[in-house]
Amino acid sequence: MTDPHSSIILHFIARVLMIPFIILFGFYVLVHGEAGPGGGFQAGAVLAAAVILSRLSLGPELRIVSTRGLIVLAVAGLTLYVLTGLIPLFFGGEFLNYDRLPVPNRDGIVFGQVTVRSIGILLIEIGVMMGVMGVLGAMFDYLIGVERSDPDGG
Amino acid sequence: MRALTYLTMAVFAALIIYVTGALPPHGSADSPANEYLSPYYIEHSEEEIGVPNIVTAVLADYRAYDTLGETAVIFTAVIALLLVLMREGKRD
Repeated sequence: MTDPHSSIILHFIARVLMIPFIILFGFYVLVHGEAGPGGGFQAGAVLAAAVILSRLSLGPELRIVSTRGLIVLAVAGLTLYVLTGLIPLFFGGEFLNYDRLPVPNRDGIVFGQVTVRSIGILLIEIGVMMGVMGVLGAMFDYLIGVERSDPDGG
Repeated sequence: MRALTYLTMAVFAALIIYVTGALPPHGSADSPANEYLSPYYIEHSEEEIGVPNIVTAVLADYRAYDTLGETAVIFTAVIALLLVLMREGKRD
């Protein structure tokens, strides 16, 4: 075992079976958070598991996002949360009052059962998911020292 | 000095144990939180927030400011950890 990523069984199981399912399940947990168990924190942890598994089993060229990409993801997630809170301030609402988000609606309902409030909740859940996924993945990379062999400088 | 520390700890421990007796039983329906706060969320979250999951309604809407703080806390903690680990990497 000179190359830790040379096993075809490991490669197949991780790339074809495990990682796609984990990513799909992560997004399911994210969008299902308004109706059942789930939410941004849990989805972020599940997606970070996929990122870490790709680093452990597939090697640097097949990992899902780079270390720099993970840090950008974490910053973007927190920014998305704060922006979702700030935007209602310009439309007559309080900080994080999603009712005043500038989304086309009729009496607070966008279409079907989707309300403006639930769109705001989904936005901040996506922000939390990006933040948790980014920080967990970046923490793993820095702890095992992957970032030093990063082609784009980490 | 050490005796004084132990004495302070003993006094506070005795105080906390004494006060514990006045707390409502765990999960009691008569506790202040269960008397008005939980029923309010259970009765009104569906119409006010519009999501069926009460936990999400509390976490992401009634207590959205708190969740923002939680996200900022893990973000700040990990960024601080990365800064420490970056310095470790440069030294060798």
